[in-house]
Amino acid sequence: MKLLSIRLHPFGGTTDRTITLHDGLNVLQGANEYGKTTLVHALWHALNTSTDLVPSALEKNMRRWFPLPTGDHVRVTLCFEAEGSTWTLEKTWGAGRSARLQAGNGAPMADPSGIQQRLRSLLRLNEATWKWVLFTGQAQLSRTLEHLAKEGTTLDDVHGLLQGAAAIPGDIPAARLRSVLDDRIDAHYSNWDRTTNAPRGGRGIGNPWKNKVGPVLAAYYTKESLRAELEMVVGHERAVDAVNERSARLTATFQKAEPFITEGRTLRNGLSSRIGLEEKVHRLTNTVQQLMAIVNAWPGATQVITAKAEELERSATELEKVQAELDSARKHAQAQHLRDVHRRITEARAAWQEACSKLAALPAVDPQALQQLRKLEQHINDLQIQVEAQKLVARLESTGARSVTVQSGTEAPASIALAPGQPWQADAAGRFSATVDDLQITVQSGLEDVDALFGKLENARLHRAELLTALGQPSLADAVAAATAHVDQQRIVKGLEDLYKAALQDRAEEEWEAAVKELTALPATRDGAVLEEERTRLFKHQAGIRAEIDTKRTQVEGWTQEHESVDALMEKVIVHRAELSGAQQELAVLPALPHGFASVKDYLEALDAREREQDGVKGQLDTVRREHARLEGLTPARTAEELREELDLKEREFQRRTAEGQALLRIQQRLAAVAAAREAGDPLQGLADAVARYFGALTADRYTRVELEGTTPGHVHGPVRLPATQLSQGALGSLALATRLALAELYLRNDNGFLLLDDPFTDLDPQRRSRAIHALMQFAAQRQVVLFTCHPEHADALVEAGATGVGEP
Amino acid sequence: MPIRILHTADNHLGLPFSQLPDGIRERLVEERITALQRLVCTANERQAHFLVVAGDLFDKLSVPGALIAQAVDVLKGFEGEAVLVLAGNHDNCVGPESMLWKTFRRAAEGSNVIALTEQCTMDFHLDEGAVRFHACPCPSRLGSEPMTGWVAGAEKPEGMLHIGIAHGNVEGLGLDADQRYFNMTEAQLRDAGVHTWLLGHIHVPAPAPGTVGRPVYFMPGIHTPDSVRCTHPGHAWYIELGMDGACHHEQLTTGAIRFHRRTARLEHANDIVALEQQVAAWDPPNTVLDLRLSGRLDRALLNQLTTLLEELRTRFLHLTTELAVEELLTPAEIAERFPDGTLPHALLTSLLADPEHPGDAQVALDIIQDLHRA
Repeated sequence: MKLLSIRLHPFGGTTDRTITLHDGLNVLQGANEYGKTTLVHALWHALNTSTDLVPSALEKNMRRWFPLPTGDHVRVTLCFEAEGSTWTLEKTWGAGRSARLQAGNGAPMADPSGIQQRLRSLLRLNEATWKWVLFTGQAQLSRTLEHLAKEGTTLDDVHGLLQGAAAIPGDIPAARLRSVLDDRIDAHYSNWDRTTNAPRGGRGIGNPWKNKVGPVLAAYYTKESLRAELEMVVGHERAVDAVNERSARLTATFQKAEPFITEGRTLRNGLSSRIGLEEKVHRLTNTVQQLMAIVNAWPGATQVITAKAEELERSATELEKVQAELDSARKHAQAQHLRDVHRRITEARAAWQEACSKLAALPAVDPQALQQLRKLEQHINDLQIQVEAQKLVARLESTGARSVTVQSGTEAPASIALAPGQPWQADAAGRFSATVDDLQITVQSGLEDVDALFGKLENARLHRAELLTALGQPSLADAVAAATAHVDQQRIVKGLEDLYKAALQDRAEEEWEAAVKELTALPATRDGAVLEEERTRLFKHQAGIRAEIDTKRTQVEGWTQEHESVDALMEKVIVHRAELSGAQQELAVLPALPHGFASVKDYLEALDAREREQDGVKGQLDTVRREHARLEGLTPARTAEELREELDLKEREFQRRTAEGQALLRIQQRLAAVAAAREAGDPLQGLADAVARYFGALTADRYTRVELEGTTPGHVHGPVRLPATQLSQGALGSLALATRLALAELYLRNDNGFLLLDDPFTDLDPQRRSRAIHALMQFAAQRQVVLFTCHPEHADALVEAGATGVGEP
Repeated sequence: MPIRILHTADNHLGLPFSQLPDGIRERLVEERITALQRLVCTANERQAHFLVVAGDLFDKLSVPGALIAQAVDVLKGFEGEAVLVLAGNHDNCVGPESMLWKTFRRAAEGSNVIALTEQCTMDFHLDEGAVRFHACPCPSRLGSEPMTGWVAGAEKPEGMLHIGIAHGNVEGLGLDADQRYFNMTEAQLRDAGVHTWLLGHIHVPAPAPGTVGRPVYFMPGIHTPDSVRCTHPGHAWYIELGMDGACHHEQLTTGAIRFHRRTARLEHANDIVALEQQVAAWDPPNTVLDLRLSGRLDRALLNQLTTLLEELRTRFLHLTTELAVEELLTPAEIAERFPDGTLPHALLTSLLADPEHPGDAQVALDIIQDLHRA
């Protein structure tokens, strides 16, 4: 873009003025406050400020340029070349605002936003570039030098100021931005653990961090403190509710029981009296009944005694008769007894005599003979055993029929018949002989002298036979049996004899016979048992009568002792009846026992129990009320509803702080990526050389190389390598201008733009100024420059160097 | 001639508004008693026979004695037959030793202001007819059972109007998922056998506008708003009940201060204009306004919004704001501030290109500007 002319009509203090601009360096010279700044702003607003401003923006941006005192609008018309065309731009702000952009004879544009878009495309570079690089304000450069003079040459100051004046304003070294961002993140998340999304070290509100509390942590503590307060308040409300509920329950219980107790207290005395009276009535009633019973019984009792006495006499008479008959009956019983005894004696004697007869018939056995016989039998057995021990087995066989006489042991010989094929066999004890015709074969055991043995046996058997004959018994067994029978019979005889003697009862049999004869003269009677029974009955009857008489007598004596007489007793009855009636009347006026109770005692016990219960309930109520009062005293200042609302607010605030932190982290990541990309391709490549070139020109090549930190000169190379902060003020001013020109050259290298400078030589000495003019003319050879100065000598020097004076602004 | 009743409830005298600054807090606290005064005046103008406060006249049991006396004084101004004040769940009556109600009764002694703190019936014999009120006060702040059960079995002589007064949630009308606020059902109320119920507890009025006939119950709602949650201006019921059961009812507007909350997302100038137009429709000097604004605006609109908020702050009774409006940095603004090729230009342009977090660019700009200022 190349400026051709600008017209202010009006703008600021200018009513209507046109300035024509040319290629190369245009110099506008005028005194201070002469409108240079107005012109710069008019140009700036023409290119960058829309006419469609809201009132506040109009007020802020344009009001100051409205002509005083009553101007209500400003207008600028700008002619320029761009994209091969000549453009006319006219803008009016304020009353009658309008905008118009036309390229040559083409269709004009009138839409303000459309015009701004088109202008932006024609300007190519962004607004900031134009503003901070190409529209260099006078104040900015001079401020830099003023600050350097005032504030000294501390590194930070100069660096920042250089950034503001010498570098691209707004640019920041990546490292510095990264450092600040890191600090910001650290501060934002101070004592906050991003991993756990909780306070570092788990230090919640119970043990909060006191120092280095970042915004996230602070927001967290705030909301959690509120939450804790809310929980406390809710807990308090619940406690109050629980106490109230309990109180209501106890009150209901109390009130339910109160009517009964109140009534009971009223009835208590009356009912207590009732107990005594009821008892008295009961007692008197019983007494009267008892006395009346005596009154009724007393006369009768005396009569009863008399009648019973007579009855007793009659009974005694009857008893005598029965007794006499009973004596007779006993005698009869005794007679029968005598007869029985006599009969038994007779029978015993007969039995005894019979037994003696039997005994006489039994043979007697001599015991010694019997003993001897036993021994002999035993000896015979022993011998037989010895013979049996010499046992032989005989076997006879014959080829023809024959008869053989055999003898086994001591047995008698016997004849056997043998047949061919039919052998004969037998056992023989000790000896066996077989005789056939005149042949006798005898075999005997060789163990002993069988003959002697057989001889002993035979002798023993003969002796036994003799003894048996002497005893008259066939055998030992018979002898033993006979002996036993004899002995038994002797015993029986003895026993019967004893029975007989016992039956005699130490009396002779003749005496008994005589007594029996005497019994035949007794009279007949009833059965003794019947008489005994009747006598017993009569005894009992008499006893009963006597007892009855005694009882009645005792009664009558007792009554007489107590009451004297029936009349006196009747008087007593009358008195007691009167007392009873009085008590009953007294009872009638006492309160009745309430329904549902069997007795006054039951009721009073129930009343006492209820009163005790009620005291307990009252005690509990008092406790509950004290608790209620205590809780009321602890009522929090704020309600749960208020706290919930505030907690919602603080929750949202915490979320916002968290979101802010996340934004910082994203920015950090993005910065790393952008910085890395910038290192790969530096958009400001060549700037250092350009700065060095211009600086060298301005310093007569004293300094030929410049090291940049970002876009800020950090070191310069001359005779020595120097930090830029150690340059003199004049050199620093030259460096600032050189950087400005280098940046403009960089930005305008592909565009046909222009550079505005406002008194750039203010603090340069004439030599430096001359070199600066030279450098500037070299710059302007390729690009349009508009330079404002209030110094005529500067303007003259520039014009002399080839610049075009464009008249006073 | 019908019996005329003015029915209110949930006045919550003594509500502290502690989260608000002093001046507005005092105004709001005062409004609660002032609105009650207006109610009494309205009742007198309409020659109501009864003024019924169906619970929660007071916000809590620990209200100062001076406030109780002040409330009684206001109620004493009623010229009708009686003012019946039922104990609600916030000003519940746990028993005869309740300090609040003892103070109330002491202050009301000798007047026609009657505290209903126990289940009871109260008869009035007027020229227009006899009325029996069946009072069902709350014995505590919370309760799982309704207090109205006894009314169904209570004696209801013929020839009288039977009116129940109770306080608690009505199923379907309010939210009481845990059944903690003496929950009643419409069926229970209907089966109680009274002509109608005068209820309190829900801060929203019932029946709905346009309802004709004799409703099962009336709920007046709060008499003057107490927070942004109350979206109506404060109401009471004026009820005419004939001895034959005929009913005429009229909803009265009784509050003088409104609360409004507006939540808006601002992304365009039109959104700001719409906001301005909406709030302008309210009565600013008598409105407490709460704005919850979010969104993204460019610098100019943000400034415009700031100006608007400052203006609203001066016009409205009180303004609270919760701002989550991010400044929207535009490419033009980046270009305006930072020359091409500079690190800030590159970084901000890159951040602005993130469609999910365009606000990051503004945050980065703030840091860069702080650096420049440093």
